[in-house]
Amino acid sequence: MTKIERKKQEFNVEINQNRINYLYQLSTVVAEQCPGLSSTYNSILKGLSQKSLLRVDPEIKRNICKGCDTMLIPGKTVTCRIIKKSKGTIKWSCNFCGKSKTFRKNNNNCIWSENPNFLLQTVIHD
Amino acid sequence: MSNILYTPLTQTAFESSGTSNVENPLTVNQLTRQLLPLKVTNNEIDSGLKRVYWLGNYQHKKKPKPVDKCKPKNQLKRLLGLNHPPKDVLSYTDAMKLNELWTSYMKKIVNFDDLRKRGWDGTPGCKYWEQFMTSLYKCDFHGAHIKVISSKCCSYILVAGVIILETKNTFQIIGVDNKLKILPKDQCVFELELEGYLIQLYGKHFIVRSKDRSKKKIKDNLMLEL
Repeated sequence: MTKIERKKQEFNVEINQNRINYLYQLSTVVAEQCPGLSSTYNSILKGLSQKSLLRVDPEIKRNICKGCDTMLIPGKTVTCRIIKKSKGTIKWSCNFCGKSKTFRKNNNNCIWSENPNFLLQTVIHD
Repeated sequence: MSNILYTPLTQTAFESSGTSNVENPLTVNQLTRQLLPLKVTNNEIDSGLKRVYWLGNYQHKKKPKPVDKCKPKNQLKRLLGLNHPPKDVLSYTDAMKLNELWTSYMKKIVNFDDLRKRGWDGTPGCKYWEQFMTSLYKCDFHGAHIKVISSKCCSYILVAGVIILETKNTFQIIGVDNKLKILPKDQCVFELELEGYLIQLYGKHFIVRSKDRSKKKIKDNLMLEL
């Protein structure tokens, strides 16, 4: 409870976390119409996390292209294909620069954010 | 083009071609059927008549070369044309959607209800003004609705719009005319609206890249000479 009382006193807390969240929202809105803007927003997102020593969630990092920093929305800016030979791995290839990334299918291994024990509780701010 | 083929011809057209006058006027399609031999099918006549001939200085478009994936990121963005925003794609109504996101984003950062209780007026130089400006200085300004109050060049005054891109020396906005305008930061004073308050921003404080603004500090928050 002491932490929550401190937050009310200081009105400039968690600026960089909110800014990363806002830039991610902006780039999804603009991704279809003009991909040039979404790449600039995402490049600010990456540089800001490096400056302020904050880690970005892997779900966010997977939706950003490594080649040109555009937003990857399946069906609109990415083509998603299944490769049969390697037992159902999924391949994402960017429509603008052509770089591709593959997600292997292994049921035994999963990242920590996909694990159900990851969420302790959900807090809703008014 | 298709309307011309199936409408009946005038008599002046027959006179120019040299044929005698015809009582029942024919279309172009029926006349070519009469003149040509029976070997030629109807489909070949239609495809021949509807073909488009380019006259004048028409050049075939060259196919764009595929870009190498292995190039460094700066070169790859420049070749794909991702560095500069498009001029005519986004309209003013699309930009106002970004402004709605921005207002909800600013309510998270600044608690205006707490500030009012402490006696914050919104005028420069009042209580808690420096703390407010240091928090606002680190925020993101993409999507803010902005207006120029004063500048060295008088033609920039009263230009308003939504910020789309922020570089080191410029703000790039979209106005009511659906056009992209570029404003220099150094010579202008801007105005914002937040919760009914009008806040002045001096462009001289903002001459840094938007990545690096999170770490730097402003030394003088108060009035400046342009």
